[in-house]
Amino acid sequence: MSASSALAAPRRQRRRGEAAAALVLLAPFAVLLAIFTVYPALKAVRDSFREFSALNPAITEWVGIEQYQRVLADPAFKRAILNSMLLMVVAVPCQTFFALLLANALNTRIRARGFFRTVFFMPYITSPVAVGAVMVYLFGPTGGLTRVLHSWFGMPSSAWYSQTPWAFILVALIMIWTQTGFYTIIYLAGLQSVPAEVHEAASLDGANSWTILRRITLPLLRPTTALVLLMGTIVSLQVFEQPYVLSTTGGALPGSPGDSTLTMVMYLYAEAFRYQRLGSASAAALVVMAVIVVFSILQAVARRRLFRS
Amino acid sequence: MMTPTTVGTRGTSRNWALVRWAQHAPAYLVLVVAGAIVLWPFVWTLYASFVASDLDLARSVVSLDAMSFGHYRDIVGTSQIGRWFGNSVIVTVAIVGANLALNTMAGYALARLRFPGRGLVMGIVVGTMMMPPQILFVPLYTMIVSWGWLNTYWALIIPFIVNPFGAFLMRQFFVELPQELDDAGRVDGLGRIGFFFRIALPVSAPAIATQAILLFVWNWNSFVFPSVLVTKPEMFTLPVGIYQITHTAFTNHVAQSMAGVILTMVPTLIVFVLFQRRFVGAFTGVAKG
Repeated sequence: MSASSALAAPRRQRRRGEAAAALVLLAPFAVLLAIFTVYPALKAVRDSFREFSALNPAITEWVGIEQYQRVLADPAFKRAILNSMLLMVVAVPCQTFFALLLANALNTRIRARGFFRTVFFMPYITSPVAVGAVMVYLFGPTGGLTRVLHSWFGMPSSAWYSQTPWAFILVALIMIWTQTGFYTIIYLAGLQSVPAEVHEAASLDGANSWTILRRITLPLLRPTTALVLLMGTIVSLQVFEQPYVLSTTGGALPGSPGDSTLTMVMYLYAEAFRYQRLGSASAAALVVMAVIVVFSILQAVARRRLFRS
Repeated sequence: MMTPTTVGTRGTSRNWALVRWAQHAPAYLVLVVAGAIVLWPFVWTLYASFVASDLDLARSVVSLDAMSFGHYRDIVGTSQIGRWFGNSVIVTVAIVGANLALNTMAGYALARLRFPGRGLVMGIVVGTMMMPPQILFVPLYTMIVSWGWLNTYWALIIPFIVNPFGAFLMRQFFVELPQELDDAGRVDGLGRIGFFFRIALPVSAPAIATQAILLFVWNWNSFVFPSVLVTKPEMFTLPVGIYQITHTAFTNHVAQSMAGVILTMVPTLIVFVLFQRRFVGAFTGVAKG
């Protein structure tokens, strides 16, 4: 440190100055976070033990763990948990693989990189409701993709969203289509922090590009992959808009046909705002959170095991 | 990768261009195929919004002369989409503006100032960042109802004006600033707050741009909370309105609906294109954290 007089001020006084500045800068954020995130989160925990209706939220009754028992016994919620997990199992590996592929293709000295980067990011920045509305038509009874996929591959000739298992497959495809671009950008950021000399040295040593990818790039990208897998897991367990928009087309029930596209978040949304059962919706919300926490930890453990061996 | 000049001067520049192209052919192939898959729904939507009538969408050959802005005019005339667009602009701009100011200040304090309780606040920020927002559906709804805020701008804006992810992003950025900057600022007689505004803020443009893009996109596209916090059509935001158009009122007017969808998509695309240069770099810091 330099010997300037400002720096020589008594340490305690400086500390107090720091604390005062921190108070000014942090207080608005902290107060708003407490009111609109921390307090409601705690309230959700309390609400999960109380029964009350959206029609009159002021009248509540303490019912203990009854609502947890109710939602966990509900076949629709079990199906929703299963669907969300299936979506995660399908979407996360696919989007991670495609993102890695696209990021590597973008990380070369080719033309129009900026153009492709923007294109790949477009699905992510587009309203999920808008995407759902477009897919309803493309995969609808007279939709262009329905017709093409039917005549080329013998896939269904009528609306995908109204038959099993195509409705679920469509949801998974839309998820992958939407999310891949976001993880591509994250991988691209990771790739750009790998020094170019590393690649040059390897290729001078005669390594081909596949070896470089497997032996050098992927190990260096491990922190990025960890982030991509974690975010992918969390996001795929929180899916709501796209299956909601697809399944309610033509006035059908959310999650239709049957409960084949019902996700965990769709279930709790319906409990709260369709059936007005705010208490059991809160219980369902906490179960959803527990599932997300468990899977985040599980995939982190699995990833560590896998990478070590 | 080797450059032509280091290898030799035998080949003509034309040959080298070919070699280079061949080297990159797999990358081009991947990008073009993926690009087509990603772009196709957008191109179709744009096309569908301009055709003369819905019947044209079932035909494979359509005359381009018949294309018009008619469906845009119709949807603006027959629905309240103009009003919804305005609502979305008001709500999103207010939320993003407040977030940029408040998250950035908080991120700076958490990164560079020592004060009692810093660890606790940081723990709460990370904890709420990891927490699924769906937990808040019911409690926020009952809070808004009990305050009499249903169907107001307050309900659509105030609960969303701080974001723990934004504060975390800024903290990760500010932590990396060299300590010498602080010392230089103090020598210049700047206080802690003066330092924040005069030195830290100007250099944090990439992180702020990233925050701006993400917060704009998330809030512009937000559907769940607005769909329960407002029930009157004149208070709808665009996604809520688009859902209503495509799922109730205009189910058979495909071209009109697609015009509405395009109007919803354009603003986020503009924001992304404007700020994207700074975007990729800012994620390096997040991946490290």
